[in-house]
Order: sequence, then C-alpha cells, then structure tokens
Amino acid sequence: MRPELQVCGILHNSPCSAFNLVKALNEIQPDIVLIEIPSDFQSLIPLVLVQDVRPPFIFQAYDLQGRSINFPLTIYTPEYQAIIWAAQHKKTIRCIDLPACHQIVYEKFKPNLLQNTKEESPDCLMEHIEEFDRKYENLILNLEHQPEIFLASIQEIYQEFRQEHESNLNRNDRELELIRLRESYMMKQIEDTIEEGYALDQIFVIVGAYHLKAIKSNELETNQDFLKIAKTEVTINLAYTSYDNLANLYDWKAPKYREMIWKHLNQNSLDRLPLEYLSELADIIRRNLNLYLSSAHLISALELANALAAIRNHKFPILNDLHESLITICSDPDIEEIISLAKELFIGYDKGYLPQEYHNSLLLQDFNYQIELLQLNSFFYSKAKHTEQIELDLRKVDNKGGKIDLKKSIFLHRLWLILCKFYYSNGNITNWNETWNYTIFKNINITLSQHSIYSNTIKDEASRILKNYVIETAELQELCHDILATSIFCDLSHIYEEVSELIKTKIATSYSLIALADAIKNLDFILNFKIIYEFNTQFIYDIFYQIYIRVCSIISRESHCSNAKARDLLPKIQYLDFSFQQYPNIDQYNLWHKELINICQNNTVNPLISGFTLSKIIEHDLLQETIINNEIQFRLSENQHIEKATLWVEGFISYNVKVLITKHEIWFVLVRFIEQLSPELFAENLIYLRRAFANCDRDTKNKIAEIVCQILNLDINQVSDMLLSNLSEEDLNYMANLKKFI
Amino acid sequence: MKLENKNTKMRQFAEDLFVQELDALREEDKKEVKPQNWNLSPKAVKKFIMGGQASGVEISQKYMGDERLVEIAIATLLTDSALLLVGEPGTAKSWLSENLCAAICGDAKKVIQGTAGTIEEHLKYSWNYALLIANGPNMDSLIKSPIYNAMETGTIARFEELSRCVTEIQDAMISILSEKNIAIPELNTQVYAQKGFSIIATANTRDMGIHDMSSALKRRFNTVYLPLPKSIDDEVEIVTKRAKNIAHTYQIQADIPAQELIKRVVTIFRELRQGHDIDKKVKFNSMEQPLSTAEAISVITGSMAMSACFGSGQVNEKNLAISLHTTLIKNNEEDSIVWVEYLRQMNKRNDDWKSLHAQCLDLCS
Ligand SMILES: Nc1ncnc2c1ncn2[C@@H]1O[C@H](COP(=O)(O)OP(=O)(O)O)[C@@H](O)[C@H]1O
Ligand SMILES: [Mg+2]
Repeated sequence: MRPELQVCGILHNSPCSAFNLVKALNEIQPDIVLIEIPSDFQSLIPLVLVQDVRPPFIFQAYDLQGRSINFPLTIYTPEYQAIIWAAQHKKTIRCIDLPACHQIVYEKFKPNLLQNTKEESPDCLMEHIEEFDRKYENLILNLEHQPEIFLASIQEIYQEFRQEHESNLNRNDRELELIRLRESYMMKQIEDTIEEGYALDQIFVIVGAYHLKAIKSNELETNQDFLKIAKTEVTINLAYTSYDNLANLYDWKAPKYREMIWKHLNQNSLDRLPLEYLSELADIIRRNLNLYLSSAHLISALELANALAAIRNHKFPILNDLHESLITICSDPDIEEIISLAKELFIGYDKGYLPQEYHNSLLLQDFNYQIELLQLNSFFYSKAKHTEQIELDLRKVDNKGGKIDLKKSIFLHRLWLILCKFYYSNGNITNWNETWNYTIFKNINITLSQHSIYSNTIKDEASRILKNYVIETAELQELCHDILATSIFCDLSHIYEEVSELIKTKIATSYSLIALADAIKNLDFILNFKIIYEFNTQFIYDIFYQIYIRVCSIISRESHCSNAKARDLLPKIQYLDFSFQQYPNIDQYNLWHKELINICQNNTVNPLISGFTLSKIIEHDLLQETIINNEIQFRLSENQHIEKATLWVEGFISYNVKVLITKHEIWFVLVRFIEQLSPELFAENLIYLRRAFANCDRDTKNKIAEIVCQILNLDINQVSDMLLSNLSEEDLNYMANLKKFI
Repeated sequence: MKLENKNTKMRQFAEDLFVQELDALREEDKKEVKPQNWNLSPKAVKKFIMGGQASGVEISQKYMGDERLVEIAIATLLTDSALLLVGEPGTAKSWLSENLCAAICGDAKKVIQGTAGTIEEHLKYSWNYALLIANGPNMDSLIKSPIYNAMETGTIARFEELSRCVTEIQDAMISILSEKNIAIPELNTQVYAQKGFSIIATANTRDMGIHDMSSALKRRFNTVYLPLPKSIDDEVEIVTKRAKNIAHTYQIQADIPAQELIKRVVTIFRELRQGHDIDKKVKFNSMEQPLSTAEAISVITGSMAMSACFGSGQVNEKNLAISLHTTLIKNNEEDSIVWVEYLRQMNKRNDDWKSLHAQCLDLCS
C-alpha cells in the first residue's frame, strides 16, 4: 500500500477531467507531476510553453516505415492543463509512459483512415454523436462537478470497460502485452521518482482512468530490463493540427463542443451551455439556409431538449438532445444540411499555432522518404532544377524484377494530383513513355506543407483529393474517364470501388445512349492499361454489364426520335454493338439481339435506326433470310412514305456496306426502289449512297462495283470510277442543304 | 373458421386492444409524477410504445423503429407544441398516433380524418339542427368536434392526413393551436383548452405538394419524420405480423407464406426503394410507385387471398409474382421499365430466386 501517493485517473481529452484535475492540483500543490505521455516526448514540453504556441497540436513520433504515434493536445486536454499548471507554479513535470520508440514497434502499419471512412448519411452522423454521448459526454455533464465524485465514477466506469476490453483480447495479444509493459514502465518511473527523494504526498500521478487500478494495485512487475525491449529509431516532433483534422484523422466526435464545455466549467455557467449552443446553431442556420428561426423557436427547442433529457435520464441535455430538438422544431428541415452546418459548431475548424521553425509534418517526411526510395532526389533537389527532366519507361524492369519507373510514375501522378491536376498525359497515352518536367513541381514543398494538415502520407492525401473530385463530378463520361484513369495511374485502387458505385448509380438513371456508349468507350480505353498496372478488371466488367442492361432497357424507347438525334445515335449504337460482340459473355440472355429485332421490325421508331438495326441483324445472322427479305421489301414498298424509305436506306447502308456484298438480293429491291424515285429524290439518294460507300476500302468498293454491274448490266469501269472517286465539295454542300429539310 | 375473439368489431382502438398492458403500466407507474391529465408518466408511455415488462405483464412493442423518434414525440407532447408525424404512406404514422393517445389519455377515438372536403365545422363544432330550430342556440344543440372535446377534457385529439385539407382548414388549425380556445359566437362564449390538450396530426410526404402547409402552421407543430424500416429483418417482422393480422380480420383462408418468401418480397421492395441490390453491386432507377411497408403487406395479403380463392391455400411463387406485378405496376410505363430492368439485372442471383424471377418476367412480356 502506498496510501499517500496521489494517483488521478482521467479521461483523455475530457474538459471535465481537466477542470477537476486543475482543481486537485491547486489543492494539493505537489512538487512533481507525472503524466502518462511517452517519456521521449519530454523534449517537446518546453516547446509547448514557448510564447504564442497554442493548441491544438500533436506530439508525434514517427519512423521511416510510416508508423507513427500521435498524442493530440487541446486546451482542455488534462495533460496539457497539467503542463501549464506545472509551468505556472514552477513545479517539475515528467512524462512517464513507455517511450514512443518502443511503443511504435507495436503499432501495425498505420491503418489507412481514408479507406474505412463510413458513408456519411445524416443518420449515421447521428449515431456517431450518440455514441459519443453515451460513453463520454453524459459522463461529463451529468455527474456532479466535485472532483471526488467525478473521479470515483470514471474509475468505476473504466473498470468495467477494462474488464470487457481485456476479455475481448486474446491472452497473447500484443495489445495486452503492450498495456502490461506500459503500466510496468510507468510504475518503474514512479518508483524511481520516489527513490530520487520526493515525498510520497508530493508526487502527483496522472494516468488514464483505464490504468488507474493497475497503477494503484502495486502488483506490477517493475524489475524487468526495459532497455531490452524492441525499439526503433523515431523522430519526435510537434505537429500542427486543427479541430476538424482531429475529427477526421483521429475520429474525435466533437472537439469544439468540448471546448465550449471547458469554457463554461471554468465560468461556472454550465447551465447556460444548451441555450448558448442552440442560439449559435440557430444563427449559423439562419445565415446559411433560408430558414426562419425566431427566439420563440429557440425557447421551444430548449424546452423540448429538457423534456427529451428527462425521458432519457439525462440530468442535463446533451449534444444529441440539442441537435434533435432543434431539428424537430424546424419545419421542413434539411437534416443533412443542418448537421453539416452544425459540424462547424461542434467539430470546428480552429487551428493551433506553432512558429514556422517547428513545421515538419509527416507528409513532408513521407515525401522525402519516397523520393529517396525511388531515387528521385536529384530530380527534386538538383541545383539546375529548371532544366531537370525525367524520362520513364513504364515497362522497364530492374534487375530485381521491380518496375521502378512505374513506381516513379505512380508517385509523380500522386503529386500531380495533389497539385490538383488530373492525370498527366503527354500526348499518346498508350505508349509507355512518360516525360516529366521539374517545372510543374516547382512549389511542391509549399503545397505539401499546406496539405499536411489533412493527411500524413502522399498516398492518403492523393486519395483524399481524388475523393473530393468524385463527389464533385456529375458526368458519367468524366467519372469513367478522368476519375477512373486517375485512380489507376495513381494506384489508388480503393477508389475504384467508390467510383464504380457512383458510376452504377448514374447508369441506372441515365437516358442517354450517347453517354452510355461514351462510358463504354472510356472503359475500353482504361482496359488498355491493365497490362501495365495489373489492376483487377472485374469491376469494369460489372459496369459493362450494367450498361448493357441499361442500354437494352432504353434503346427501343430512345429510338423514337428525330432524324438529327438518330444521326447522332447511329455511331453510338454501332459502337455499343461492337462492344457487346467483343465481350460475348455479356449477351448470354440475348437481350441485345432481341432488342435489335424489336427495333428493326417496329414501324414507328426512327427509320434511320430501324434500317441500321436490320443491317446489324444481317451481320449477326439473327433472322431467317425470308423474314429479312420481307422486311426490306416492306420498308421499300410503295405504301411506305418515300422520305421514310429513303431514310431507312440511309440507315441500312451507312455503317454496313459489307451487307451489300454478301446479300445480292438486296440490290434488286434497292434498284426497284430507286427506279420509282422522282429525280430530286434520286439525286438525294445517290448522294447518300455514295456517302455510305465513301467510307469503305478499295476492295469492297470494287466488289460492289462488280455486283452492281452484274445486276444492272453496267460498264464495270465506269461504276468503279464513280465509286472510287471522293465526294466533291459540291456534293457535300448539296447534302448539307438537304439535311435541313430532312 | 371460428373466430375465438368475441369482439366482432372490425377494428379495435388501441386502448381496447391493449387494455391489460395499460392497466399493468398504470399499476407500476403509481408513484411516478405525471404531467397534468396524463394517465401515465412519460417513461411509461415510452415503454408502452417500445415494449418491455410492467408489473409482470409483457408489454408488446407497438412501434418498431428508432426509439429516439418516439422519445421526441413524447417530449413534444410534454411541451406546449402539437405533434406532426410525417412520412411515406405506411410508415405507422396513424398507428403511432393512436397508440400515443391510448397511452397518454386512454382514448384514441377523438379523430378527425382530413380530406379535401373537411370543413371548419369538423374542427370546431356544428349544430343539431332539429334541436337548434326547436330550442334555439344553446349548449344542448351544440355538437362538439373531437378537438372541442379534447380541449374541454385536457386530452389529445388526432388529426389524420392534415396535408390533404384545403388552406382555409389549415388556417383554422393555426388559430386553434395558437389561441388554444374555440369561440362560439352564437352563444357568446368560448371553450378554453385544459392543460394536457394537444393534437397529433399525420401527414403523408406524397401529399405534401398538394396543399402545401403554410410555414405558419408548420411552426405550430414539432415535426417528427417516420422513416421506412431500417433493417430487412425489422421489415420482415412488421410485414409478417400485419399480414397475419389482416388475414385474420378478413378471414382469408390461407396460410401466411413461408418466412423465406416474405423475405424475398421485402428484399425486392427494399432494393427497388434504395435503387441498389443488398450487396450494392447493382444499381437501378427508382420507381414512381410508393414502395412502403404497407405495399409489401398488401402483396402478401393479396397473394394469400389469391391462393385462398383459386389455389390450395398455400401461397406459391406464382401467387406472389402476380401480386407483386399488380402492386408494383399500375399502368405506369416508366415503372414497368424499371421493374423489367431490375428483374433482368437480378437474374444472376442465386438459384432460390430463379423461379420467382422467371414468373415475374413472364408476366411482363
Ligand atoms: N415501423 C413500424 N412498426 C410497427 N408497425 C408498422 C411499422 N411500419 C408499418 N407498420 C404497420 O403498417 C401499417 C400501416 O401503418 P399506418 O399507421 O396506417 O401508416 P400511415 O398512417 O403512415 O400511412 C400499420 O398497421 C402498422 O402496424
Ligand atoms: Mg395514416
């Protein structure tokens, strides 16, 4: 038993803990304060006390493998207040936790925080807040403010929590091992302090309530050789941060709101907090949304919050009660909007302040580490920067089998993205050479230090930025092209999933065959890169399939359209048809073929399109010859409107001249059709026919000439001359004029 | 089929349906402080709605969903505001309003059904014309509206489908809610609301645009939005319970479909509603047709009725397919595109689904 040793259990980052701690320190006036902060952070304490330095900031330790230990401090962090108290009272303060250089060995590689951010529906946000309430805020606000009661209650709650926590951990779990190690180490530090000659009642120990019992129990193994524990070299650093950063990176629920609690605790005015919070929130809402909120509203909201708190067994309305009541008294609230505005208030954007010379962020560190690794030092740091240029061959394999240039390219693409540019293209993107100029990265260091507040690694920052683009991008084509390509060039594979989600949503609601065809085209383009980037292409095929289904659902509807639109559609349908043939598995239900048949036999769809689809049907051999011939005869029969028939012919031959070579019978029908045309219509038709033929190769043209001559008994030379000559300017003008009438 | 329930009313109000539960809660609640004119304390009201135990009696869960919404609703009635429950059709707005009234004042019968034809007299009072002519205007010839009654007794009146009423009626509500009295100029008197008086109104999001509620009226209400069921299991449970209940009331001679089949129907509803499949692999367009739980219930009861009349009394997939088809596609071409597209895309789903899908697709061609 050490009856006189003062051990105070706190909640990290709890304003109420901080408040009670300061009270206790003032009462006890200890000579030395021991705090649960890794002891190699001791060197940072003087920096905290430099004039103008202001929290929030982070005590940080990192190693070259990207592992880090972060200890955020805010104005209401008990440890920060302890540091300030000790400085003001000229007392010693000592960090006693296991040094970060040991602890970091237990850190897994830093989990990619961006990867597992949840979907942020307003509902989900509410849940976040609620969890924060239950575990934390309720504790702070709804307990008496006398230190003894408060401390006793958190101790009790944490004891339960610890039991539950430990029972979830495996006996051999490294987490458990670390906890034991840290506690023994802290105990050892306490013992050393006593040995130094400090009186027991002059030592004040501050640990998380989680460790309270263990530290007090006196059962810890302190005579092990702590020097033997695995360790690694770390850099210790004071880093800049902000409240929203703490919320994003460390999942803090309501940093700014906690600051408000801290303020009110110190002014002994906690009962004013609900109304103050509500009116500030109402003010923000008034300014940003077109929503009228009078003071009468506020009073009802407060009343409702109090009633809610009573039903929920809170003595005092908590953040969630406040939000819910304000939302409830608003008629027609846009909850999502209100919560996102409220974030400004309960999360906040307040930044800490550190003098320039302390600026050294993990992001810059990562940058330097990467360029070292990729041997890009001279590119970024050579003397004659303006002339520096680097040539990459993405296929190049070094003697260890690594694609070093590809890695460089990925890294440079990420930097490029951080500079807020889309994928870097130098003309012909499908050749594997890239040229990068230093000039585009001129200010990269400045940019990175501005960005260091958001992320700790180049990769995280690149994916954060790309995600923002994803949110802002509305067009299907852009998503399929720019964003997907960028995510591949930057090797941010986790973004694919998110993007493909969004793409699928857009497809499901798209009525534009053009957009859908372009999307397929872009995906095709991206598939080109699979050889080099080796990404999993399944997600692209999934999108294909969805486009395919969507196209089949809307094509017959969309085929009822104007001629102008039909002319735009034909090349797209051609492309879609081409793609669907390329991926034969896609049409296992023959939906596409069925739709083609439907459209070609439908007399109400645009004739250009139905003519076109018939040619496709002949090409894919989908209908019996007699049915096809009947269809052609029907389309060109006398009871069809002549203009419609002409358009039909145009559609029929314009993308598919080959049909005319294989199906001689068609010519007879065509000729019969042409014979009955008036001279103007004939001229018009002729030009369309010629235009249709203009695109095919010499061989085809010769074959056609042959067939035509056979059928019409013409001179083969004359016909092939005509076919082989290009369209004259005059013809083209004539056609352009004609189009106006069609 | 012999009905064991002696009560032959087609529909019972909550206070009669759950009379034992209410007694038990009152017993347990004896020592609690109650707001004036409330039968139960706020916490007991919450227990009545959300379920639990009271004096050894099992309290059934009436509303399946977020407890917080119920808390907000009760808290609202504790303050001076009226309560407006808003949501898609079939999200238990009426059901919750009825049960709240039953718990708080033991009477959910003071109801006004809002329609385009609702007039001011329905809100305030009207006259028994025979008596009026015989005796002239006096209290005996006055016919009090449910709101009048509620004011007099300090209880809660219900107003169903408030948003269907014309603007004048909504304006009349504003004066009732802000003045908290009804004037009777004919008798040169007025009735004042006793403490405990309030109104629970419901409004359908699909009606919202028709007679848009003025902001002045909305301000008199605290609005609670009732969402569609969160999890698929919740929804399956609601659908199963209600379908059983309805089949019982209408004496449909068919068994409730297997849980697996109900789950499939609910899955279809949820997927169409959310615009993606449960694995979020496939996305579809959304339908114009409301896809509420109530619709899912009607698919099930419809299929039961069909199998009772034309089949064995065992619901099969064909019954379900027809019932789904008729519920989902009400001559709406857009919706039928969505439905076909949905079925085609989901064709890749595992074999258990094959036959239902095929039956549904058959009906579409
Ligand atoms: N979340 C739910 N909890 C309990 N029952 C529900 C729920 N959602 C729907 N129901 C059931 O659906 C039926 C339709 O509800 P109703 O109150 O008439 O809907 P509304 O008034 O919202 O149109 C009710 O009988 C109710 O039992
Ligand atoms: Mg209703």
